Amino acid sequence: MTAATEKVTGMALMSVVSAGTPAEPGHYVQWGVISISLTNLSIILIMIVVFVLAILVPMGGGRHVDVHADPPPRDPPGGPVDAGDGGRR
Amino acid sequence: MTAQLSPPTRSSSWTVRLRDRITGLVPPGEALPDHQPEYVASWIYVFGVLTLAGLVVVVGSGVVLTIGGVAWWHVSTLGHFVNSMHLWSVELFFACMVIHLWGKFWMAAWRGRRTMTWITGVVAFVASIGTAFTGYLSQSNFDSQWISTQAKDGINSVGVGAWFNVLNPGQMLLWHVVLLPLVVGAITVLHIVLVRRHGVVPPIDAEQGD
Repeated sequence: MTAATEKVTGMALMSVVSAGTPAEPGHYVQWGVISISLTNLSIILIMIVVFVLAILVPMGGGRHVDVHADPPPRDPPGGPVDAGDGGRR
Repeated sequence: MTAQLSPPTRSSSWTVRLRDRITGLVPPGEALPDHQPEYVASWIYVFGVLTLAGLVVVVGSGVVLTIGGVAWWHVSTLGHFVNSMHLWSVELFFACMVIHLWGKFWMAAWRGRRTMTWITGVVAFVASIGTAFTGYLSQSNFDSQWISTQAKDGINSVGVGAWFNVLNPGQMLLWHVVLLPLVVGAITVLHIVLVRRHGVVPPIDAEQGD
């Protein structure tokens, strides 16, 4: 391989590498032995916020939702089934 | 030669026994219920079905990707779009599954003889991690090469590198598109059947009749 060919090959490889990798390294949060990327930390924090909101925000914009009211429960042959009774079987 | 065939008794016919077994998996009307207990009207109960919806998009986009092949997304804008849909549906699938897990953990969802429901959920979570891992190894780019070389020592240290070779992209691709999706799919079906069989777990402080 001549010097010119080697240079062209190297440039092609560099262009592929630069196209496939970010220009800058990611931002990391360091806390003792804990090291986490800012992106992953942000996603975890957003998930916690969604979790808390899912518990606190009432479904239906605060209106009371009576899911049993309409339509009436359909009793199967042999008697009603109590869904989610904490130990049906 | 006029041997008469008598109709099989219920106990001798395996199809009848199988049918009875299938129809008895969940109580009547609970396979696709049209009403739920009042306490289910909470957003925290939504994340299980959101996870399921995410899985449907993951599988659907994955099926389309298998038609184009692993290099399709490098050379086609449509392939890139489908690949991105596959990635982001996986991200949402995992986010919803973890929030679902948090909710069920703090609800102690294994109460009321729901131990197997909890365990199948844990197995589905672990199998999903393995499926996502082999997906990252199947990207056919420098990222997948980096991940595989970083993972090989950990895999070898637990003694399974001979059967699960992360440096073999063909093997990892087949695990990703065949074996592990079958495991995740089967466990998910079992998990849902158990949820419908035992009902949605009530809150800890729920009164009878809520």
